[in-house]
Amino acid sequence: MLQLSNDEIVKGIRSRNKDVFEAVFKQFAPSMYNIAVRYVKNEDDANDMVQDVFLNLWKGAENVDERAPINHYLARATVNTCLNRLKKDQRQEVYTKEQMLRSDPAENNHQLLEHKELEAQYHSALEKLPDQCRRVFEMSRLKGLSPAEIAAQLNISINTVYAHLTTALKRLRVDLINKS
Amino acid sequence: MNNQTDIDIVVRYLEDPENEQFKQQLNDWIQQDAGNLDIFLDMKAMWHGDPLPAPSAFDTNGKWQELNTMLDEVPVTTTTAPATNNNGGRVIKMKRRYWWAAAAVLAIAGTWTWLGPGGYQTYATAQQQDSLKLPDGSMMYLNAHTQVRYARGFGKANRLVKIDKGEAFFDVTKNDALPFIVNAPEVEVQVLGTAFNVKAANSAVKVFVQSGKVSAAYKGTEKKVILTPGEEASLKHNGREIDTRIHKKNNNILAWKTRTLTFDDTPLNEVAESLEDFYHVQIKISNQQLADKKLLATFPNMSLDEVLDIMRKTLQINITHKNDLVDIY
Repeated sequence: MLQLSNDEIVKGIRSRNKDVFEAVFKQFAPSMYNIAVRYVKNEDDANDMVQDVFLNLWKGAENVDERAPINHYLARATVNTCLNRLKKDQRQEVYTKEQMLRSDPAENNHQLLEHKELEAQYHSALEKLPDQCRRVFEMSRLKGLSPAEIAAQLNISINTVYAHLTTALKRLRVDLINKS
Repeated sequence: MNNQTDIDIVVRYLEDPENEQFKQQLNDWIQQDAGNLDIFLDMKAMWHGDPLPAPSAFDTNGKWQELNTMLDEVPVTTTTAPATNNNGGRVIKMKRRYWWAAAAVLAIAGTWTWLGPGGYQTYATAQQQDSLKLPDGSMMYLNAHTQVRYARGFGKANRLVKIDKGEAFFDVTKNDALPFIVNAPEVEVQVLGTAFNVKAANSAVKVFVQSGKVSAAYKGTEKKVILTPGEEASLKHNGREIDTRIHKKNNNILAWKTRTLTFDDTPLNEVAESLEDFYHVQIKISNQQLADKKLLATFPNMSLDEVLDIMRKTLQINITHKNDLVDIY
């Protein structure tokens, strides 16, 4: 991975340097996709949204603000794309419709299988997490407690809860990627 | 304002993580949908420049190839292209709308977190005062019991100082491109080049301007004042009221720095206030008939007892001083 300072990144983007675009894309697009897919609940849309953000960045490259980190721009652009894509009250409705339109049962079964497999991998990966980290993650995922509730129950700060969850996700994803 | 909390709360929280209202809204939003916590965690990691690993569903290389091909087909010849293009226009507009308005505030929250822990310099004073030259040439004078921080990129990427507690005077070198911003609890002060004082007291943040022009605002709101020399604004915590007052040329707001108290026919109750502030004592005027007595005097770098002695003699009043209590009668 290209290691660049924000200055170099912004300069590269402003001059539409493909290498810089590629480095930025590879670093941040997966997260952006993950955000978008959880928001719009549709993989094709989420993929489009990520591409849109980068296309727009390319088109307006010379206007990029050199004083702000590029990842802040991308975070904001992702949020705005989400907001533009679906207005809040339409969100659930559209999701249901999209699901109904997806009538390919084979694909759904496949997804289900994949999901189960993922779950199994999750559990084995979970075992490897540090105790407190795993506890927090399980309270969040298995018991469905909110970060605020977890913080209260374990008598730790909400930021600590966020930090544990981040660590857990990081390790779990690395584990899952290595396995697949 | 939108009364429904939506995904933008994540960015607003990351820009200003100390904001209690945003914290609460973020918690509420996270509970609205099972996917929201992951959105937040991904966004937070990304915001800090250390994104989480790719989720397995995303084909990073394949998607890059796709994008790469599309980029070659995008016409980007003139600067009007983004404005006339529908898609481009949307993002550009978004940038104009949010970027500048929020630039100051978000730069602060963002930069601290972007650098992560240890990404900023912390200066704290105990009993003593201190002064230091910031990397951009601006001077910062710290009163006792004050803690400030500035980001490692200070002077290059930003000019941001965070005052956690206490009082500081800033003599700012002019740089129109990089606004000088002081972040106090709940309040943000922004200048181009000027000299001003920020006091983060328990009940309020006070901003006093010696020269130049300064804006003071409640973070995340439209509430702000522009201050000119001699003006002081008081922004109360947990409030949205900004009181401003104009001080006479001879005031003692900067006395902690000049070490000189000046009174110019100042009523005794105001003198008492200045002395309380400067010497960290409590002053009681038991005989309220004395409150109207006026003092004309300058006390350069003098001890409290020396000052009280002069007051006794010039105003013909009785004063006792025991520990941190002064009684005037």
